[in-house]
Amino acid sequence: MLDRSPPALFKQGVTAFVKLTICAGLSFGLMGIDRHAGVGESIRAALATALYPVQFALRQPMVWAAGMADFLQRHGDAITENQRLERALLESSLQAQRTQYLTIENQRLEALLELRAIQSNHSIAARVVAETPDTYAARVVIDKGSVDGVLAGAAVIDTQGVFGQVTTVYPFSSEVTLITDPNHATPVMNARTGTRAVLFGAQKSGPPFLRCGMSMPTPMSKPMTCCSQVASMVSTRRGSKWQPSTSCPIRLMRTTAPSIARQARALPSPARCW
Amino acid sequence: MMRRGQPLLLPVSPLFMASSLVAMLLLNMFLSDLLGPSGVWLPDLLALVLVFWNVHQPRRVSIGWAFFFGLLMDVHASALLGQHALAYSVLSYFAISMHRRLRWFPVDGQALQLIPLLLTAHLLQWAVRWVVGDGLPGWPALIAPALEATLWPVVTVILLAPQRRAHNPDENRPL
Repeated sequence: MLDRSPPALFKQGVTAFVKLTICAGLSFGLMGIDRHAGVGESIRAALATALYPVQFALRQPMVWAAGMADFLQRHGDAITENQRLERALLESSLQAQRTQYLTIENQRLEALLELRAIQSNHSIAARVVAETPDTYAARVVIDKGSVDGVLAGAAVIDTQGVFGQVTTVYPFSSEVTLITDPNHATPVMNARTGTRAVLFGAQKSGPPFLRCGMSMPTPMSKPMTCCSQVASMVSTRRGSKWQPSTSCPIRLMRTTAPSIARQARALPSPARCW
Repeated sequence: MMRRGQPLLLPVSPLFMASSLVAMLLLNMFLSDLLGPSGVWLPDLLALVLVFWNVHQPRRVSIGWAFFFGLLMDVHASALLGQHALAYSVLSYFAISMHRRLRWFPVDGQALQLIPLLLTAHLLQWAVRWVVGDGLPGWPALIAPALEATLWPVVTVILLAPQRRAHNPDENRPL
């Protein structure tokens, strides 16, 4: 009854080295096909779907903690925020009126030019539930997936502007690559001059900042509010810091509800930013 | 053949082995979710428990299981698919190939001998990501293998406890 059995002399099964060779070969194969449409994505999606209930349960304490922190937010903060939002709403409504007018005018001009009407963007509201533990990439997990109509490549925006892009879609959740990710590029255009550029994230060394075209490190001065402003900042090369809340997922979860533009194409083309 | 003074152990319960592995997977997932990318220094508890079972039960927990758990970690961490799987497989292979020698040493000596092994597993993951073009994770990542080796005696005590019970239970005898 003791844990000492004589070693099997003949039936040892496959040797450890053979098993290692097989497993290592499989690993290298998976690395090769990872993040490519087809087999790699489907393996990842299948495993992620199996893991989803566990992940959901494990993330609940953090969601609750965020909810509690939200609940305990000071009253003064709320009043200040409310005043700010009222001002913002006023500005937005003015802008909205102007946009409406421009849309009508645009439709009229398009009709004159016999162009097809540009469809308005549908969007899906989602919450950030976690930050992926992978140290090498700036990605977050949101709580909407292909079941909710999320498509890979959709742009993700929050109250501050462009936030990232959906890179992997699972049935019940999706992974969003932030614009600060070193491997992510966002096409931008200066609204005033029409200069086009590509915005890269550069998060590797030091605090997060964005790098603009021609590999010129350019910290941003203001938070990004919309694509045209990014473009203007790119062209003027000015600024200090852009805080994409990468270091604090809880705050992100609490305050922002990034809505995903449901668009078949990836990011908006440089000519039509948002 | 066994070390002088080493206690005779009861047979291991397969259920206990499986549940310890699953529990460590969940703990790993929870901790990495909690800290996000800043948790690069966290010890990989799943890898440590895998090594433990590789050393103590090499015929039950083998490289295939290491590969499977590695794949799950890859998907959870949104890492390169195969990154953890490769590291765990290699870890498992070396743990199995040194298991007979390792069990002749006292626990602190085992921890010392495991440092290069655990470091190799981490180095492999960094190397893979470096080759892919993702750069290096930074100095805090070196803390992880050191912490894992430090935790080895703790893991040994906890995971061997069920096997250290007396094989003929007696109500009147302590322990």
